[in-house]
Amino acid sequence: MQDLLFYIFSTLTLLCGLLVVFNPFSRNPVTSAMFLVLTIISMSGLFVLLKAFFLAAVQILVYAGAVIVLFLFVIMLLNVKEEERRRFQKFGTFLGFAAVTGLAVIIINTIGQSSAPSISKTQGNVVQVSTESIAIENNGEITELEIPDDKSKILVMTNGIQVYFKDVQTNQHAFVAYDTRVESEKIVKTIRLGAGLGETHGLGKLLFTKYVIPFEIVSLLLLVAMVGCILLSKRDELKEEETE
Amino acid sequence: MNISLEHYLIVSVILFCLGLLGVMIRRTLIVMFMGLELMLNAANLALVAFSHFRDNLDGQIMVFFIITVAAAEVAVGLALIVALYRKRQTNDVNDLTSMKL
Repeated sequence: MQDLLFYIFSTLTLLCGLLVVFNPFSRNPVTSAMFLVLTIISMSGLFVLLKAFFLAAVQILVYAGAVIVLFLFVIMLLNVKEEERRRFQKFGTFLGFAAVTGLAVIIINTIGQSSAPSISKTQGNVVQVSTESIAIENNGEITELEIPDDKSKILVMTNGIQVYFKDVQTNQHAFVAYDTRVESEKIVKTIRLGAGLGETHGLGKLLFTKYVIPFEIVSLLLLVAMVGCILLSKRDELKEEETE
Repeated sequence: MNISLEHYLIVSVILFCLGLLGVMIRRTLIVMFMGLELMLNAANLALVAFSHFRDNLDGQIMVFFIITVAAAEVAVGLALIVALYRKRQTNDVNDLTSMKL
């Protein structure tokens, strides 16, 4: 299901992206802006598939809401006409397509060549379970697995001990080690619900601890942008007085 | 077939190239700006994909900042376009050649 959704959303994103820049039926900027909205909405679908729920919401609010409205506002304000077709337009378009296709082929080849082997789920016998890590033995090789903070990972072990997630309280999850030999459970590590759920919790925490200085700098940047906009769109009063 | 990091990266690369194409072949300043937005979004997609497949939230924080910076960039850029239009009465890059040799 998720695979199908990925293909649907990525096809929509790419198709609408193409129609933003190269629409064979219309060269009207308003059409481009509308397809940009569609691109952004389908991209937030991809964000949801990547479990970045907060960013998906922000993407729609900021891009589809604020940025596109700003674009449309300026298009209407300036009364932008359809692009004139000029000489060499066809040649230029062809060259642009060729160059961009070349670039895409190069980068995709690079991705294909450098693709690291994906992390395989470790399987084997549990040797030792502690609050920090789980040691697993597989063909004489001992791997130590750190117990992760997010609850998307479910570790299932053999040799009598299974490690899995379980609700211990209404708002708490825990890694639980279950020993089938003595049929007893032992809570290894508890995790608050929400830490791994959509990761909004973790995102907020990171934003106000590790990244608090960049956060403040960004707020300063927004202030500077605001001042810049006012300055740019202000009429030059001195010059107007001179001409009068 | 499972969707891996490479799938998302390929979508991101193609989207980036589409944005670049828009900047290259379109001649209206506003549509060129939309191409820039597409390129920024492609970078966002790559970062979110990395963050998901590495189990690391730092990438998402980066996207958060990129979205903010992009919003500021759009505001300033559109103000520049309006100022330019007021001065030269045009919106086409072919007419803006005063810095050409």
